[in-house]
Amino acid sequence: MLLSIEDLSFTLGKFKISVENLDIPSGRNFVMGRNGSGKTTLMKLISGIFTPTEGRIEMNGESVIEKPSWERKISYIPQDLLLFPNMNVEKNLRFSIDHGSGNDGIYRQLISELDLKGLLDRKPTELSGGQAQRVAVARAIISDPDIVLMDEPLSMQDQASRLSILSRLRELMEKYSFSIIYVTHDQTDLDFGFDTLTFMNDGQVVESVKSMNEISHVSSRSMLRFGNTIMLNGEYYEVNDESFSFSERNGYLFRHWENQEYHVYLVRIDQNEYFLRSYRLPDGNLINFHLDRMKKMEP
Amino acid sequence: MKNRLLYIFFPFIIVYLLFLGLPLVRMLTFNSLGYLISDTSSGILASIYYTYIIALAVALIAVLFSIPYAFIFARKRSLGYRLADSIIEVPIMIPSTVVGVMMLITFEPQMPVGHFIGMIVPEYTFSDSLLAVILTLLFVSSAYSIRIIGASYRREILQYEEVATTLGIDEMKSFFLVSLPMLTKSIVRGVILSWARAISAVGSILIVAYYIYPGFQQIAGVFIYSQFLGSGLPPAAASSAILIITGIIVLALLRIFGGKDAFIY
Repeated sequence: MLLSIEDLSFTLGKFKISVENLDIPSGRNFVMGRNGSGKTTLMKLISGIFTPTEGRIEMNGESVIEKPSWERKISYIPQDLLLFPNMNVEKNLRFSIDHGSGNDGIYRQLISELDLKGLLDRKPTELSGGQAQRVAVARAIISDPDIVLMDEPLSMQDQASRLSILSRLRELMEKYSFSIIYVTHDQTDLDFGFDTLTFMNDGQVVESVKSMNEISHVSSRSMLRFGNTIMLNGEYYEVNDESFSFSERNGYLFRHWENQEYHVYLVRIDQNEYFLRSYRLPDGNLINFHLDRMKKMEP
Repeated sequence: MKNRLLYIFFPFIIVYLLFLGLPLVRMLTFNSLGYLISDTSSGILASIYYTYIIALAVALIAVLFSIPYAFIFARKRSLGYRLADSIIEVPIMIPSTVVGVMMLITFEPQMPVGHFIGMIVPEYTFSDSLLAVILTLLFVSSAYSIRIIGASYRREILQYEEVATTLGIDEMKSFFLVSLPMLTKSIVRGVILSWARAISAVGSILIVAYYIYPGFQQIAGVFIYSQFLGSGLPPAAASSAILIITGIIVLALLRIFGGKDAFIY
C-alpha cells in the first residue's frame, strides 16, 4: 500500500479530525467531502505541514510521522496554488532544483509537455488561471515526489482548463512515477477514472471505495450530483431504474425534467425532497418505490 | 455622489480632517519662515538628527525581535503562547511617564535586575544613559513592528513557506528564501512605524534620561519641552514645526511603502 493511515487524530482550534483507518494505493485517488469536512487538514497531515496528535502514517510500509515535510517526497498543491509571487515562473519551477532535490530532466520535459516555455519570464500575477494551474502542477512534479496532493487546485477555474489538466494527469503520473491524492467537490473530476474515492464528513473518513457501486453511506451519496438516495420509514435506500414504478392512484407526487441523456425527478417524501436521475420515462402521475428492489444504505 | 450615505458621512470626514489639520496648520504657520530658519540654530536640528538615529536603531532592534517572534507565534497557538502574545500590546496602553518609572525600578543599578546586570557589566549605570533611552523606546515602540510583521507572516506568508517545504526544501531555506523576501515590505513598514513611535515618545524619556550623558544630548521631544520651559512658546513652536515637517515626510514614506494597510495602528 502506498499510504496507510491508522488512528490518526489532530485538533485545530475547535475542529478535530480523526481517521481510524485509510489505505491509499498507488494511482489516482480522490477525496470528496463538504466544506469543513477535514479534507485540507488531512492533506496537510499527510504532507507533514501539520503534525498529528497521535496515529500512524506509513508510506510504502515505512512510518513518515517523524519525517519533516521536506523529506517525505509528498508535494502539496493548495487550492490557491501559491506560486511564489516574488519569483518569475522559471524560478518557481526551478526552486526545488536549485535549492532541493528537484529534477532538471523533468523540468526540461515538462516545459514543452505543459507548454510553459512562453511563460518562463512572467510573474505569477501575469498568468491566467489555467496557466497558473499548469505552473503549479509542473512545480510540484519537478520536485520529483512520490505523491502529489492536489487540494482542489483546479476548482476556481473554468471547466475546460480543469479538464485539460485532469486529462493529462494519468500520462504524467505514468511518465514521472508519482501518484495523486486529489481533493474535489466536483463529480465531473472523477470522469477520467479513479483508483480509490474517499468520502469525508465532519472530520472523519466515512468510506473509501474503488467504484461508485461500492458506495454504501448516504452522506457519501449526497456528495454526488444525483445521489439517487431516498429515506423511507426511517431507512435510507439507493434508487435505480428498477426500484420504482409509476401509477395514477397511489404513490408520491413528483416533478420531472428531461434532457438529451436522462430524466431528472424531484420527489417529495415525508416533507423531504430527493433528486433522482433515471433513464425511465414517466408513465403516471405518482411514483412508487419497491423496497425489495432497493439497496439499503448506512446513514 | 448618488449614494445618500456619502452625503451623511461626508460632514463627519470634513470635521475630523479639520480637527486633525487645524493644529498642524497652526503649528506650521505660528511663526514666520524667517523665525523657523533662525530656530534651526537653536540645536533642534542636531537633536532631531540624534533622535532619528536612535529611533532607527531602536526600530531595527525591534525588527530583529519581530522576525523570530513572528516565526514562533505563527506556529504556536496554545493558551500559554496566546497569553504571552497578549503582553505585546500592553506597552501601547501604559502612559508614557509610567513606562519611564517602570524602566527605572527595573534597570537602575540598585534594583534587582539592574543590580544583576551591574554584576556582569562593569561601571553599569542606567538613568541618563543612551542604554536607558534605547531600552525605553524599544519598550514603547516594538509592538508596532512585532504586530505588523507577525500578522503579515501568519496570514499571508507562512502558507507559501509550507508549500516550499513540500517541494523538498528544508525549513531553514524555505524561511530565508521564500518568507523573508516576501516579508520585506512588512519589515520596512515595521521599521517606519516603530521609528515614528520612538520619535514621538517624550514622557518616558523625561523620566529616564532628560539629558543623555556624556554628551548632554536631548531627544527632540525633550529638547522642545525644555525650550518651552526655558524660553516660552515661540521657540518651542518653531522647533515643533521643524519636527512636524520631518514627521510628515515619514508619513509620506509610510504611505508609499505601506499601501492600503499602512495605517492599521
